[in-house]
Amino acid sequence: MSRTVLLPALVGLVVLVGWQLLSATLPPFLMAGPLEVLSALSAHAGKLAHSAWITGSAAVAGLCIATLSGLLLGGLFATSRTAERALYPYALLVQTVPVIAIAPLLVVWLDYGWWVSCVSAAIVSFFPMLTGAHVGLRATDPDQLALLRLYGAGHRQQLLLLRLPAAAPHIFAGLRTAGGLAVIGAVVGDFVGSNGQPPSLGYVVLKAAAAADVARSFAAVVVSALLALALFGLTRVAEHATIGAWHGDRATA
Amino acid sequence: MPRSHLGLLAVLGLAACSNGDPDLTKVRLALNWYPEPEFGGFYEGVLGGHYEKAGLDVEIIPGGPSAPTLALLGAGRAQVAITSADDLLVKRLQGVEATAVWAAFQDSPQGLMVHDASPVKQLSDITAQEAPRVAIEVGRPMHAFLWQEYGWEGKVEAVPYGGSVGVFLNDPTAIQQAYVTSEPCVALSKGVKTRYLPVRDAGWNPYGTVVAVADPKAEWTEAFVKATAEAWRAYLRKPGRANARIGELNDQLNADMLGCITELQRPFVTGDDGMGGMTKARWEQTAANLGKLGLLPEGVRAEGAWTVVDLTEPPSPPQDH
Repeated sequence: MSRTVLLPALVGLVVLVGWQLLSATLPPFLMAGPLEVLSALSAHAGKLAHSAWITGSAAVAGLCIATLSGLLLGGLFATSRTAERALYPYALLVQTVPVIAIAPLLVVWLDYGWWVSCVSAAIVSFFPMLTGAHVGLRATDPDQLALLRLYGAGHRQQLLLLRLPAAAPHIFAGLRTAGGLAVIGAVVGDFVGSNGQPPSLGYVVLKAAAAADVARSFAAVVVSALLALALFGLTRVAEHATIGAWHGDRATA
Repeated sequence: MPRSHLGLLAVLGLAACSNGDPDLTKVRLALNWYPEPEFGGFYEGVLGGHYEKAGLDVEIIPGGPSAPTLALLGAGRAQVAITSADDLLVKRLQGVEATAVWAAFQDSPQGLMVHDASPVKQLSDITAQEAPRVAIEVGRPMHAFLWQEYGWEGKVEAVPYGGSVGVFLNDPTAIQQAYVTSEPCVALSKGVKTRYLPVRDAGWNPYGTVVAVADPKAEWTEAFVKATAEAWRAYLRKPGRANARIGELNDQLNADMLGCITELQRPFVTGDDGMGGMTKARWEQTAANLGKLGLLPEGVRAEGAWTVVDLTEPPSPPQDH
């Protein structure tokens, strides 16, 4: 147990010290060390927290949209081969949409700000959710399914009693990937669709970088990394709460 | 509750929501960048009451890197769009109905910058430098124009510019694109003096911070243009109030930056054709340049893309008091 904490902590310390030493040899407009970033974090703490709230809420809302639509479409694919054949190529296309290319469209439809970031987060986190649901819902043990059918279980019972529980680990794996992506998606949405009213995280990153204020720009990046970590932690908690206690795969972890 | 009461409530709610004077015409003004002194006159127009006196309730919507101001105009989400002359001509060809009625920047604020100590004194000197490399927004009209005009293809390397001057500051031989009021002021704030090489010297000189409207004949347009001209004059005299507001909205700009931008932009705003004025020659030059670059089909003229609003005061009727 102590090694699982000690080793990463040691690596982190070495990286931080190395980073600080390296940054001391470079001009401040090119690189900011951990101490400078820390002081920028504390100097702008209130504003950064506000930015984190704007971008974080957009990421979470986008993730919720992606989760819901991913589950629905994954469920549809699992029940209908025809729907899968007809729609899957287009679902694949969604993950190739560069938000920067459709940004002007998003701004005209949704106006500047929060909604652009939310939709951007939904777009990038949709595909891992769909894949998780799609693969998971097809991963049901055919023998168990046959048994349930033998007992006369209907479609809904099959879904609730067997298919969904069996799919849960895959869905949570998708959620873990999607959570980090949602934060990236929201920040990219900020880049292209925020006019600074309110000042979202991506806006702060861009504006500070343009003003050669590297410490502040890095501070905003650190906050967005913390957001991604928090979202990852949340999905882990949800995973433990729902399937962690009994699922075979997790029992040994 | 009876239906009619619901309707009444809705009307009351709407009335409560619009905080402006109901007699004023509501105008949403979409900027093509973040709040900066480049838009100082518009902010002064609101803060100094110039628009209100003209019967207008102007709301300024800041923009950003991909601000689709002309699309917002087309979609009716804005009544006034800030754009540049070249962008307006290209977008009109794509079906956007917009007409320029005023131009805040009489000379294009675009160009390149080098360090103050650089031997590069003008754009044509760049090829004399060893393995010249220019950080520029690759693919934008200015990039295409410079390379075509000076024959830089294969001689000058273009590398993408991402908006940060860090690389430039660190390398005394660096060359990069510069918006006259932006990058030079950022560099100066980091203690690096620069030389600005305006791209207008090469013949690329579209108007900047152009005021575009969907219908120049709309009743409020003339009042808006008059108030805008008045507000910009007031702003150039006393930029303090508008700059303070801009500093609030854009906290990356401190007093030094605001002052630097305000002074650098002054000669660009007070141009030869009178403040805000536009000429046929300049519009046609811009259209011809875009044609040469293949961004407009050959022979497309600037006619109809712009109109000058008559700013001379009509003789006022005798007043009683």
